[in-house]
Amino acid sequence: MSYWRKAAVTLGRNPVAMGSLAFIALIVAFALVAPALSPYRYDQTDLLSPNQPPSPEHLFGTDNLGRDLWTRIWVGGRVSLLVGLLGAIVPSALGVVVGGVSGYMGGKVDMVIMRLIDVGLCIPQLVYVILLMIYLGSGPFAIVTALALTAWMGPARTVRGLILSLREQEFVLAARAIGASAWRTIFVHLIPNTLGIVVVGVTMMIPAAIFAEAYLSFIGLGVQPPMTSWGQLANAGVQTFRLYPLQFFVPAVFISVTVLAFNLVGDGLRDALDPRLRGR
Amino acid sequence: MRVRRSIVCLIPALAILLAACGGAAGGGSSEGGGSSEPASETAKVFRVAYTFEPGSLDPALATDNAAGSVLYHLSEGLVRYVGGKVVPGIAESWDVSPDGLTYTFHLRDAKWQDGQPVTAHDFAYSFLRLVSPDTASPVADVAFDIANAAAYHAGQVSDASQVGVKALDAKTLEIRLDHPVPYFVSLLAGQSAFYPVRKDVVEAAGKSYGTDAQHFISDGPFTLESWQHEAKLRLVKNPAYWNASAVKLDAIEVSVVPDSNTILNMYDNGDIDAVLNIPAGQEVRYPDHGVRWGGSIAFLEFNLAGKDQAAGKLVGNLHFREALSLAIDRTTFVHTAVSALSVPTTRFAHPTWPGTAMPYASEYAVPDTAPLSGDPQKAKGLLAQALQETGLSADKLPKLTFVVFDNLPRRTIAEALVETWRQVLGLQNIDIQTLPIPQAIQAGFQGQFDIYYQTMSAEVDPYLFFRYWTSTNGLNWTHWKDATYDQMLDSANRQLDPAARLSALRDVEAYLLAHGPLAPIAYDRTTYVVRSGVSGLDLSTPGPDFDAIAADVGR
Repeated sequence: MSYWRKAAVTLGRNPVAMGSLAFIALIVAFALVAPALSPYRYDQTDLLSPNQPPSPEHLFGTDNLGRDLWTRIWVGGRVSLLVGLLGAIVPSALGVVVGGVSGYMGGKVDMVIMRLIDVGLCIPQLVYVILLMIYLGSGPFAIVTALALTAWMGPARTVRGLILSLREQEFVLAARAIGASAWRTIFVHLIPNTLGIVVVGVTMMIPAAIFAEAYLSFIGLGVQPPMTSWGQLANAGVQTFRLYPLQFFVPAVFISVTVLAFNLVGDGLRDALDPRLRGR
Repeated sequence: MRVRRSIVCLIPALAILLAACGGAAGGGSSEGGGSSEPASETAKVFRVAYTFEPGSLDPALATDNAAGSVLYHLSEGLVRYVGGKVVPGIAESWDVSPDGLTYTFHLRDAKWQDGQPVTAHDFAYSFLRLVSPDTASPVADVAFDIANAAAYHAGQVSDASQVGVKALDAKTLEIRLDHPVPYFVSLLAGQSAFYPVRKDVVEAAGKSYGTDAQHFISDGPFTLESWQHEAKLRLVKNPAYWNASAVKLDAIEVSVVPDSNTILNMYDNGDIDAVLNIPAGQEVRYPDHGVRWGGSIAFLEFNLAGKDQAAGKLVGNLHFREALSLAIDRTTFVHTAVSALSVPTTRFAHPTWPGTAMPYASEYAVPDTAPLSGDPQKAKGLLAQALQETGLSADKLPKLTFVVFDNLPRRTIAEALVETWRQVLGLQNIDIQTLPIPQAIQAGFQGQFDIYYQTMSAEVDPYLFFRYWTSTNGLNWTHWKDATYDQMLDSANRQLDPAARLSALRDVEAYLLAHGPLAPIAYDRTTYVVRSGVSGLDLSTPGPDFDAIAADVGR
């Protein structure tokens, strides 16, 4: 059995991770389908029935403009999940490339890149993101860009460390002896060997990206109205928390449970991809 | 390792829930424990809280509500508002010349807190300092009705004696106006810029006058005992005040608490005696809350030039603007999207503006005012007419930008309006742009908007609001320049008879509504709550947020 196949089997035997994966699939499916099936548009107001409690017409009730919260949750979920996925994958990919080059080249190139990362990591990520958001404007793609430009440094450092140990191994020597270029050595021989750890890193970064979006929306830097996201919905709900706690709890629970599910999947993946932990 | 990782992951997930609960329910407890009460058990102290501290207590530099309210209790001007009426302050009486241009104030025997008499020279010094270009007062324009004040402020007149403020002797102050201003005495009562200051104290303090308790002198009912910055101001009764016997309180404590939910918690815990401004929606928790006018008018501003030329073609069309305005069912929209307390309007006639016998709004009706509930059919017809006039087709309309402040209430308002226009008129070309407040204001000045949700102070007189829309006014962002309007407003304000003047102003209002760049939305109201046992507190006085001079605390 190949490495990846074995990992898949191990993961399949982990009920917590599989349950979480099923839950995420469910959330994604609902986010894709539910708004189209709903009789209401997400921005359709009904000023005569605001702040309704849950009912068969409005499963989660309505907000202060009479908009259906069920529809808004799923439309907002699209933004949150999209930002979560892209906000983890894009910076990780960038980090793998930079880390791969840095680790393989070594010497002065490595020194310069690593010192840049050391300096970059000294400044809290949110400071960069907020400054970039002010420059880029708001919206899901601005958030992803801002995250991509700031969050690549962690993965870059991890990958560089892995490559440093991998490049001393015999298969790399063999590849170079046959005459593989540096580029080919990095991308065909070295990086695939780091993917297990990178994939775990991505899964663990998704919650952080979802949180970053929620946080930015919460402080007013998120998507432009009338588009919404879970963070926006939570922000709107918290204003009337004492009167209509449900309007806050629904998006807050969605954020919390989704983030938890991604973390549990990441946990399961780490166990499955680590040969030392496998089979226990 | 596995277990620990999972717990670590759970913490941020729960934190968002806990943070919200804490902010709403438990945030105030620590604040309450920290405040020490130096006053004895028997002292009568009225305690209140603001979300920000006064920017400055220098009357020429004070601009915010907190400063206005604190100065109201620390200072005494020529006249003051009590219960909505102008009553004599330091001025015992005053005469107005028949042409309405010269006011002569006769001062009573009054003392500063250190025992020196309050003289007409203190007032003359204060007023000249207010309009002096060296002071750079942000509120100097309140005094521009005084002869030559505006020219002196602009540097066109360098001789201060040319300005129409003169102390004839220690007890007589003469003010000459540039043009008749029927509400001039109300203006003196309502603006904190007109309090007297004492030359020797101001000059000794220099730039720090009004920034702490040491650099301030009072001639009013209270003196400033201490000012712990960003924490608390303590005002104590001033025995040297001319009317000290009317003051029942021993002290007023103004706490500075940035979070309005914490202020509510302080009230719930008994740490303050009144909440001056309950956050919208939360008033239902206080069945005995009171309601008062918030003092502002909310309206839509249209940029007739447009953000770009294509947009300007559409927004510049009067029928298009009328269609947008008529599409709104203001009764429903205002109560759900703006505030349940706000009062919808299709006029610019604030209920607090005085008329001759009753408020201006009811005394001077504007004929053919649009219905509050809107008129969708007529709106559709006007839109069709506008499209015909501009030659635009309904499916290829230029994008319009609706600029609102980047906060949740304004976002909600914009979302509701854009959706209304989509539902009623089928318009899909209006994009909301939320901007932080300074950037939004900049966008306004630079004309980078098509539609703007604006709230502006209602001031004390219709003229003061209408003058913003003249072709020369610097705050008129709308590119609406109408010589007829300018001329109508100017001649209305020159009427000496109050009834004729207000009637002419009503015609100005009708013209503004029919031709102007605005669509009125609502007058705001706010709620407050006062602990039972506090008597004599007045929260309706124009100017300050509260008047505790005659208040008593039964404790």
